[in-house]
Amino acid sequence: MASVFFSSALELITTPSYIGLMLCFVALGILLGALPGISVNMSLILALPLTYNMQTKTAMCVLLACYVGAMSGGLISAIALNIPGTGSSIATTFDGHPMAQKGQAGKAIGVGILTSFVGGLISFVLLMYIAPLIADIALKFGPWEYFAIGLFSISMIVSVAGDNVVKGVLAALLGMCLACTGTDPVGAVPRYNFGLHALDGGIKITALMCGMFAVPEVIKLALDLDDQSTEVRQLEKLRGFGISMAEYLSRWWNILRSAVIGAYVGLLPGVGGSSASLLAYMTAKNQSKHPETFGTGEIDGLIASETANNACIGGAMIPMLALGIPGSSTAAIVLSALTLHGVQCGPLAFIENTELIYSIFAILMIANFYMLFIERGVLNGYLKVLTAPRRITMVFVMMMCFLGSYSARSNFADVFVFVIGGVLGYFLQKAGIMRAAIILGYILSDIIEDNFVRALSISRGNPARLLKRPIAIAFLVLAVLSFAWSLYKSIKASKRKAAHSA
Amino acid sequence: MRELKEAKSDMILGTCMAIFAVLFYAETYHFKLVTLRNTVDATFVPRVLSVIVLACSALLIWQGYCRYRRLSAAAVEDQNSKKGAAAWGRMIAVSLVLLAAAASFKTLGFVLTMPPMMLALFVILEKPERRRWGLYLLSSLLAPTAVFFIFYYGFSTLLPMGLLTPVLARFL
Amino acid sequence: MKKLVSLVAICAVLAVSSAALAADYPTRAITMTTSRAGSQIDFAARVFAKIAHKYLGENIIISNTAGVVDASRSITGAAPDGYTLCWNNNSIFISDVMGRTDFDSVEGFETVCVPGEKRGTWIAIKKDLADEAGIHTLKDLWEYSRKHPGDLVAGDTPGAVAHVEVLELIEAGFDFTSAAVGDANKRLTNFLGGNIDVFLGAYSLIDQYVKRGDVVCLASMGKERSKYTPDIPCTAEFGYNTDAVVFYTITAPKGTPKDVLEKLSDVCKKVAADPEYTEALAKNMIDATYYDLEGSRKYVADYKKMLVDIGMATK
Repeated sequence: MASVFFSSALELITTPSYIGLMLCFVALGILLGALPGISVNMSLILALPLTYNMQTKTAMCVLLACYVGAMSGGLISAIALNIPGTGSSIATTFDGHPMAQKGQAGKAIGVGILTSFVGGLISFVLLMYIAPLIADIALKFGPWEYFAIGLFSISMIVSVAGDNVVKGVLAALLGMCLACTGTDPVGAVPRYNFGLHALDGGIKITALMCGMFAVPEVIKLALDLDDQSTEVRQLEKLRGFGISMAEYLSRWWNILRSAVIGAYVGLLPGVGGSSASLLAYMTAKNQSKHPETFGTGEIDGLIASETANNACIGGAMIPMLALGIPGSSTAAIVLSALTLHGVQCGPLAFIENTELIYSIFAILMIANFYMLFIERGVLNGYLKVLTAPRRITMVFVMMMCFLGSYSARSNFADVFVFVIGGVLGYFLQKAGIMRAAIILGYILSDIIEDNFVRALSISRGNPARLLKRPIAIAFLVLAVLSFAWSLYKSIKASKRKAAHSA
Repeated sequence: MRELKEAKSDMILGTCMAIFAVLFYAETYHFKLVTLRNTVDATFVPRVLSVIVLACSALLIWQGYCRYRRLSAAAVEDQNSKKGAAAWGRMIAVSLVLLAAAASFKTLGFVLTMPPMMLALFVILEKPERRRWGLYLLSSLLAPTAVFFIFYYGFSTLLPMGLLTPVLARFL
Repeated sequence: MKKLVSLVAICAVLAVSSAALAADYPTRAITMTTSRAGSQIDFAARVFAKIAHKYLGENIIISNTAGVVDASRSITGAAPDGYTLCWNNNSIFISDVMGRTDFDSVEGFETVCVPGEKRGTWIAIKKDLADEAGIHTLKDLWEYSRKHPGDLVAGDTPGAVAHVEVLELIEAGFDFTSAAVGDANKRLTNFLGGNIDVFLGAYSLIDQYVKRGDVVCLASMGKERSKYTPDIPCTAEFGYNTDAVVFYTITAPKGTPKDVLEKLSDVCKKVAADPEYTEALAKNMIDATYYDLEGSRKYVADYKKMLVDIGMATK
């Protein structure tokens, strides 16, 4: 087993064509991921047509290199522009962007790159050694479990969304309401299309996310022509990754824990990077000695989020390879590429397609290393661009967002969603409704509704069946506890405020 | 003082969300339903959501109102007007520019809509004396065209061509 | 008078030049809309596009949309000049009959060709269930389901081809409870996880599990055995008249000139005969097919009529 891995790895790093291809596509992935408006999925979709003519192994080099690159590239956009490229980078904006505003843009991105690498490394090691063993866990999670996890994730969003629990709930719920547009997940009934079939597709996440994060930035710049507060700076010259090895390793527990959370959440089909990074972030915050610094530029928050979302890649590959069931929507694209090349994934894949499967592990590992060096290498150049006056860069960002919103599914209505969602997002943010919470609520709505309806369908309409499922009940209890904790904190905070102003 | 503003905005927000919740619920009666056996139909989750949103909105309005009452007694008129009409004007201008770009995206295409939009944004976002017209014109004209062809040749993705179809088609 | 003459002259020139243009068709890249990226339809479309390039001389660019209905809808407003096409599958007709489209899936378009067919959905149950309930053949399953009405849960995807298949089985007397679980991947997950009892879907999804012995495949739905799984009986052998087919269509906007359509049809014929095409599709158990313009139109119209006849509109 190990020998197959090492021989694949050796071949990959000694054959010039593989080296060139992987370097190229990691770089491309980083570039695409860093562009606002282009999500990780979109990057893979753009690369997909190029792979149809290739040999399977070459195709995997291209796609997986792109995947690793894009996942890490997303942090650049999240930190420097405050625009998450995908749901997985939302938690990165919480502390990454404040760091950039404090003059530590390069350090934030540097730390992000390093910790993405480590997260990926840990999850790929897990992938290699225990994939077939733990893949079956993915099957134990049925609709009731996913429903419960969804509710638990919502409770986490609420606790992240600031001091006022009511506004937190409203934000998450608003996101869920927006997700109800389009067709319902099970019966395919068109909802909220107001009789116009053109609106049957509902609101697309890319358009909404770009809108809510990018447009308010532009509006803020317009409101105050002298405003310099959102400028991104790197005040000191960046050495290495911006953090000393000692300082980084001192946070080893955060790193390890976030990686495991990321890998495990990625393992669950249907739950992906956004939940992984959020959960890791929340855990880091709750276990920290100084939770109040989270959200103001706390490195631990950044580390937690970025380690988890890259660890998610390996996690999502596990059920994909071992069961034939993709662990995330991005893994689904990789899976379809494999299917198109006639490769069947599943329990026998490890036996029938050993060489290819271990090549995949090797590709992921090697791409991870390439990512580390390339992204750090181009960082200085990137910084020059990113620290350019915001009033210039944001206009280019608007153009890219138009492109990204439209291209996701060649739908003109999505461009309107981008604009209108953006303007609304500005007002909502001003009123204290966190847009990150809205987007996360939107992402989770599918999991919640989809699984609730299916769970009932399978249980023949009998909700009491839920009581027979301990994992689901455990998550529901966690959800209630988490929510109660947010409520408690909120009441304490408002009492404190009242005492101050009295 | 900021607290007073917050309390007011909470009440406004609460009211808006409450109206939204009511409309959201009402619209569920227009769904053309499909019968699914043994499970809830497509109206279930929207209705549950709107009820909770309504409850939260009511709570928010109440919260805001209590704070408003408590604070307005000791409130002092804020002399510094936060933003002038010019600022609001710019914000509306940005929104209109974006909206216009979205509306003309289909008919005019990517390469025609982006330059005016970018130019307009560049101008709105910068004070007259700091504007760099050369840079603005160059980027607005070059960037969209470059992006269009990069995406076509590099990624086999065709962005909307709109009116420019006969012109661009020659290069494809 | 002079104005009239010049008007006639202009029209004549335009008519001649457009005829000339049609003869030169295509002079630039063609856009073909299709469903989501990464799906089977998308794959088939891209294989076709790549090979058609050889015979057409121009690129066919695939434009992904949100789904089958969007793919067809996006060409309804396009200029009928042959530069916008749609690659779709038969679920568009199901959506139409169920009232989910605002256009007529047959009359609203010019059907160019039916370039591929995928015959067969396989019926499978878990080995544990088979042993426990003594189900070794499809007939056993039928009897078991009738003895325990509603007990067995079959995975369904409302509004898609899978839905038609489940309905056909229920019509044939299998007393299943159909559970709406979502797309093929979700059906597989729930099947393996024990949430549903009967799996209907592509053989490639369960291939490995059958080999490992976890899953028993009872039959393939169709009038004859699938050439990909010659050892597995078909439903016709047990006397059930059920068929399961997924086929692809290439359509153009209504009003596209006849000679453009004929040229496209000709290209389709050449592609269908190209071994690169047939092999690529065969790897995914899809058969390359060719029907000419008239034949394709009839195929598609007959299919839609069949759907209406089995009462899809009300289900």
